Amino acid sequence: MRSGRNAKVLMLGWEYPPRYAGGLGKACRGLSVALSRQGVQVYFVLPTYPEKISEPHLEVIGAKEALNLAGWSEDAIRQEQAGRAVEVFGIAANIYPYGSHPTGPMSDGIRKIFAMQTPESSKASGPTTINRSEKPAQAEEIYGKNLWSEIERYCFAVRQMSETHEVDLVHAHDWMTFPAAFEFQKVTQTPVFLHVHATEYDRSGERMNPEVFRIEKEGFRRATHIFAVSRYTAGIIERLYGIHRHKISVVYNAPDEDSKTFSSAPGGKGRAHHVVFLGRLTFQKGPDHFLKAAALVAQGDPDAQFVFCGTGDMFDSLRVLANDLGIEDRVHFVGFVEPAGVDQILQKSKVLVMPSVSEPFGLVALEAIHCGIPVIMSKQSGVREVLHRALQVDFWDHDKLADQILAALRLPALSLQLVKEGMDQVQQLSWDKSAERVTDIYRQYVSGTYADAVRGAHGH
Amino acid sequence: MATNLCFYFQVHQPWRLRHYRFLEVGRSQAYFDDDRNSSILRRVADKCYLPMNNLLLDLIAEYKGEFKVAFSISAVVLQQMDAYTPEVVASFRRLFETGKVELLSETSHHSLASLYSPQEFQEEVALHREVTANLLIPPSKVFRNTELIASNGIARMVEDMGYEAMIMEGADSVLRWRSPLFNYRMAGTQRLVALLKNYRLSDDIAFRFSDRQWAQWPLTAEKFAEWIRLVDIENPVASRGGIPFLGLFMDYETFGEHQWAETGIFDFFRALPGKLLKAGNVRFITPSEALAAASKNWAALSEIDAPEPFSWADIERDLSAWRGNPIQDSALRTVYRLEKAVRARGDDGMLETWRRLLTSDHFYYMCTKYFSDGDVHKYFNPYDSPYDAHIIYMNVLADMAARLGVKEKAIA
Repeated sequence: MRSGRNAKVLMLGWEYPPRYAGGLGKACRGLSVALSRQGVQVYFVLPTYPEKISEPHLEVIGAKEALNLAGWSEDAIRQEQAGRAVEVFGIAANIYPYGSHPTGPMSDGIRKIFAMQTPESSKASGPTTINRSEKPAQAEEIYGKNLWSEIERYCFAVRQMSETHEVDLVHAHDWMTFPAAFEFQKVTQTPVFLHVHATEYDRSGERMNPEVFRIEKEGFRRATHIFAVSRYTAGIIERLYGIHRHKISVVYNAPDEDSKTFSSAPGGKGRAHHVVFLGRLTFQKGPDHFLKAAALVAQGDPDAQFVFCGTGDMFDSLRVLANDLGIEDRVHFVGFVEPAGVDQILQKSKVLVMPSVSEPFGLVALEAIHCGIPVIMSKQSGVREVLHRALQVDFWDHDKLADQILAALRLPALSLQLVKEGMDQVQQLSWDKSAERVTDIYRQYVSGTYADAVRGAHGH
Repeated sequence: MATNLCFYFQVHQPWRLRHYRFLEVGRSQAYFDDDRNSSILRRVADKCYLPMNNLLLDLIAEYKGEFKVAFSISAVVLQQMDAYTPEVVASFRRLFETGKVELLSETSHHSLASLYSPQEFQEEVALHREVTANLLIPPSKVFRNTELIASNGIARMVEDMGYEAMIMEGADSVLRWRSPLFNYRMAGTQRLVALLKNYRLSDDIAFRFSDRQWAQWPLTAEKFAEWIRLVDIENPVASRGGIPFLGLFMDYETFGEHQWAETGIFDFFRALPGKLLKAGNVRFITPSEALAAASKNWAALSEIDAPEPFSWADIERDLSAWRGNPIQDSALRTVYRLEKAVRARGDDGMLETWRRLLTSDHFYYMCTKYFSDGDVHKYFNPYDSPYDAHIIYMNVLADMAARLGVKEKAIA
């Protein structure tokens, strides 16, 4: 290994703008761009990424596209995979990473995959390809309904990249990429850093998928070091997964670098009495808690309207609940909203509510502050560690949540101050700071020439 | 020349609000957290008021008239003692009966009325006199404003009410190059004497006593008495014929609450008068005695000038602990905007309720200055955050406004 060259990092992720469904993609881009700015060479690999990004020190590649470029045909990949089945800690399952579960009848193809509960059967039948559209960026598209085979193909492709990419370390974001990270390590002995944006506990609570849990736990055990997006998440990794705290470092997310600050005052005209929920409609995000509080708010404020942005498996039950609570005419389900649309909605609203049962970070809180509205967050949210000047509440305390919403609607001095003080805190965060922390930790764990390389990168 | 040493203790507890929800507006007039207020008072009585009162009684008896202290006791804490711990009222009465303990005059409701409403300010001072005369003894001619807030204008109002001296913070911003070890007259008044707090020595006891990071820890009575002896030697005033004065002013809850009994604070105080008197150059005086001495030498006093209000709070020693951010300003504006309607109603119960909402602590709970650290602002703070304190307070005001027929839009 030559000395004095830039450190090279193989980043493994599942989302990257414009292909993302939630905060994960934004965070992955923020960190990768900031690392590349420090001179670290980042190869960011997604399962597929038709858009091409190739900038100094940063390349974003789709694994599938990379294989195709290397001359692999779909058939060849299938044959190769069938011969050398990827062993993913010996697990196969019906998995769907961010909480919601596929709806509607299963296709025969997927049914076949569900039947493959062991590596043996997986080996026998090989992966199933289904038609996937390239463009849309919603969760269903990125995560597919046969995530398992997607992960398997991803593993295979990443392993192949060991022949074309010489790197100093692997940095893998969330459990879908953990198997690929260790596949790569098997061939190259490269240190593996895992970055946890959400655990299975955050996604599914008590109803954790045991296979996903096992992938995470085994990954944490094997990892060189773990990055968690909050102390809250580090605590979950420590307690639920039994990982020693010394092995975990907290690296906070930061606001989007191109996010603008909007001058519209929180109490200003043009803001209706809209209360916004932004996120997947899943148990862990607490939309039902929001709805129960909304019913109380509706009694206190005849103008209040409640806006749900997002999709998820609780959509139907939330509509029923709104009906039961008698506020169906005040509740609006607008579905998945593109990032530009999110800003528009936030700018026209009075307050964002994040009543998560478990929220590793909660990037959207930072966006709300940028859009000039206060945030009410549950005490079970990581973002409160960096944005503690905010209204906070236990997700189950509907009376207090309702009271805080009513206050945000009717007390302009309060909203104004929350946005101003919140902005002061948000401005303390930057991806450059977070990237610096990450490279500091790379250096601690990557020995010899690697460390020299990372140090060299810092010298720029 | 002897140092005139003046101990003054502030006794105060607010009527804290319960978590009054907006949806209760128009439905409930139960604003105050009776359970919490009674249990806090019970705790403070057991940990501080009763044991420290007994200790002071012992010291007064032991030093046969040489040991003296002064108190300010708000009407709101007296009301609560009377309701929840009457034995504490009796205990204070015994202290005042010794004749060696002075009671200072102040506002009844520990309010910021001096900054917002001269009428309310005067009425509260009169009310405090009435309540204390009834339960304890009539207060003296020395005034102490809420949290030692003072300015030329406030001093003038105080003098107009017949007071001759006022307790103030020895703030650097007001004193500049001058020494706090000295009595001053207040600019803009006829003859009002300023009795100043020595914040360094006061805070050594009130804040630093149990701080193990402090280079002087542990603070013993011997050490503290020696510092005071040195103060006298170095006192530039004594040699110029001025009147040396050392004001050690602090919360009474310093003893047993802010500094727990386990820190040794009671033992420290029990030993302190003996050590001080043994040195031979220290004399305990009350604020009224200091005033009498200063009046005789009025011409010799130099003047301090405070166009802007200052106080004893935090390192800033200004008003920012109570009105330093938009939610505090909004709450204060809103509650004083109800004054006219409350008076017009002519309902004594309503007036008393409104006054309980004027107590400065409500605004202190909304302070976001040091929100990041666990500090003195958190002490006794019954709310999760300054924002929650604001929300609850504004909910209560919304109900008051509705009862008074004041449109909510007009006050928010």
